[in-house]
Amino acid sequence: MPISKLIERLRARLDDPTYPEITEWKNAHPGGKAIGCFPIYAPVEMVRAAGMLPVLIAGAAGGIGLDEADGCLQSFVCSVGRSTLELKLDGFLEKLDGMMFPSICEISRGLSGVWARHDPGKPVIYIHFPQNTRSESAKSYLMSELNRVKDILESIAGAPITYDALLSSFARYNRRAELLARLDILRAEHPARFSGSQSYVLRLAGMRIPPEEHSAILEEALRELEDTPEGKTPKLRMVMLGAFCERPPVLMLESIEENGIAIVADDVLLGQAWWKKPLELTGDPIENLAGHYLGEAVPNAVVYRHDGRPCDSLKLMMEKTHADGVLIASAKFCHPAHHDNSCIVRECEKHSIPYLRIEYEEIEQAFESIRLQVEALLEARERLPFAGTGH
Amino acid sequence: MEDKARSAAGLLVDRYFRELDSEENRDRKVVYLFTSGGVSELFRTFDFRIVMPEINAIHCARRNLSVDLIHAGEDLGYSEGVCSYVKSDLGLMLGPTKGCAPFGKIPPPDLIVITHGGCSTYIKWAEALSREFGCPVRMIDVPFVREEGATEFDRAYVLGQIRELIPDCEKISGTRFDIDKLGEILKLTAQTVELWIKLLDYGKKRPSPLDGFFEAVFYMSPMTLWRGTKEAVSYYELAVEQMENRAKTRFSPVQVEKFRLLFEGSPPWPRFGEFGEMFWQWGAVAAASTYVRLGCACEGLEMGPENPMEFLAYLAGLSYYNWSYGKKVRFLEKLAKEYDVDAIIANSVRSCRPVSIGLLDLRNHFAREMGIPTLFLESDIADPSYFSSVQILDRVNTFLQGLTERKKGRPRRQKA
Repeated sequence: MPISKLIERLRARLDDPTYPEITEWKNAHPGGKAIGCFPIYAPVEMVRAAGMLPVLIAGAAGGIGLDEADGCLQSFVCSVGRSTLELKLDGFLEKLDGMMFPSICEISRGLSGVWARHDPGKPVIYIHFPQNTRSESAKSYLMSELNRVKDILESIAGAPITYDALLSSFARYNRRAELLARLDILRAEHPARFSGSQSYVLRLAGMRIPPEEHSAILEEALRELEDTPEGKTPKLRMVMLGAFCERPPVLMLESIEENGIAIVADDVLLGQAWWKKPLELTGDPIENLAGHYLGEAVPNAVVYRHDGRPCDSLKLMMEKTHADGVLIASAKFCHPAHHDNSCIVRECEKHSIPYLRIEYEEIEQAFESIRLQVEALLEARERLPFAGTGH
Repeated sequence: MEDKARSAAGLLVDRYFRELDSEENRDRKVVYLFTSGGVSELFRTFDFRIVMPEINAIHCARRNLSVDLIHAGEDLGYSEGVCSYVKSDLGLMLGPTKGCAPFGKIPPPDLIVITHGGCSTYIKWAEALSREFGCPVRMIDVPFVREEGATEFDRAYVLGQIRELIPDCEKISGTRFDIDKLGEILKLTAQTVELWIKLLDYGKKRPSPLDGFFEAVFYMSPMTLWRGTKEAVSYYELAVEQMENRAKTRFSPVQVEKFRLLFEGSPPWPRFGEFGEMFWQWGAVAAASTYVRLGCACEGLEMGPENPMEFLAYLAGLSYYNWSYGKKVRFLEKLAKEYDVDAIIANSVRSCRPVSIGLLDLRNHFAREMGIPTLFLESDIADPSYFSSVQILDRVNTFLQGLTERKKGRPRRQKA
């Protein structure tokens, strides 16, 4: 069966604001708990080790109005922040037993506080991940922070989280990461068989289910890709950077790819591919996790890079994927992305790499302007050796 | 009554910028530092010249220079959504002006230290500057402060990072670290902070001899630029004396105090004077504000400088920017009570998310749940295009008119 059927099936289940997946999980696991996790990376491994369901709460994909959230958060707050709060205020997230917010930006920080004020009965865990990843003091600090999180998760779960459970959970997430990496390689090597938008849907499918169930879907996808024929060769291979937190509409990626551009790599849902290599499965798991965060997180816009090169992720991705150009796709009002964009543009211009800058919001449904930009880029690429269309 | 404290603060600011690039100081190395989580005392120990990019941006905004500089920053590729302080400073340093401002020439850095204490934009700002100037960047990451305050782990982490900075400071400055010298500097800081808190406490009096926002932001300059020096101590002794004299004569900066306000949020610098007039014309004085407590102790010091390194780590964690939302709400409730305010003014600035996120919700909490009238306004710290005079004036007038009517329905408070 071609991959497209699986994608269709998965897409039909995406973004139901009532979160039926949580109900299904709790029905299948009486007494089971679910913990919401705001992007990008929160220690989901610890939640799973506690026997609970980690649920990525990353906005509502434009599926709900923002009336309540707009009464609490200003208009210059990114849509993922506002719609995530709206889900809460509208009562869609009553099934959650707690919520985690990582220290990715001021929106996540502020949102954690506003959330807690509106939900005083349930734990809200704001995690301060060290930014000074090179400091010798960072590891012991992060271990203390992870132990604090562990204590709270244990109190929610009503049971201790053992070291064995943590290591077992790491193994599950390692397996999922391995499958996602294999799919990434396949996409880069055969973009005519497996598109960026399809890859995206496969990742979206893992937002609300345990990693082992997501792995089963990814394994199915890999099997089905063997039966999927090659399609039309793309005109241009591009990496897409900047959409690491607020989810771009699937339709946006499809609109880009319909015009002959293949998105051969990207950083959407970056939390699912947060580690450069697998988590260690022996020893002290808290120490492992702390050490991994400090040394093995992929280059990204929200953790400080001591080497001072915010474009590391660009170079690496282009080399690995033999990409021709860069799509700089950032969510409106996303400060970390906007800051890094200027650096990415400079790198592209310095090395004569074609690029396209687009800004999106999760609520968008019409992408005619993006289609026109893509067409212009393709035409320019045909005519000239380099034609950046940054705007 | 002459405002000698403001004049004196202005002279110290002028002197600061003059000395930044004076001939006799050119051999001293330059460190760029940020205000939140700032540990300027450490760098005074090594005799660094201290530049604060935010202060550059403030002074550009106050002198109506920021529009052109923001455009220069945008020409460098920083989009509309990026903080206007950042664009303004990058426009000043990396644009056609090359660091030359009417108030002084800003020397390039030999070292940039990101004091990450509530604002992740600092990191991007520092990266942009270091890319241009090719200097090393170091960091002091200050953990988020929850309601219960900083933990031993938080302080140990900060202390460890401060210790790690010392070899770099020695190497770059060519000066050996002298812990006794640091101790002496920190004693001056402790005195300065205590005097500052004492000054702000005058806002509790009726009438308040101090406008805790529209005047205090100017009195704050020595706290930011001269902390750890005898000049700062002398300055605040003068300022406290002035307030004491004002209090004795029942002087009010608004002449007749009719409303007492608590301000939350940052100043709209390009239109600050105009903004202040909108309130003063109603006899509305800012009894207190949180902005003036941003970079230092909000509630007085809980430890002394006997152990200099530990005290420095403690100071780094005091920034209001870095507090949890819940902690800020509790603090505002406390200030509202202690300063006996009639209303709260929440000025949301587009560029500054650490300060602004949650202000709408905060308005709802205070107005609806605490019964304290709260006005929510929107502007920006450096970009005047986000300050709509007509709209803001209209909202302020309507609000204060409403407050007038509300006060008529209540018995007058009798308090000394």
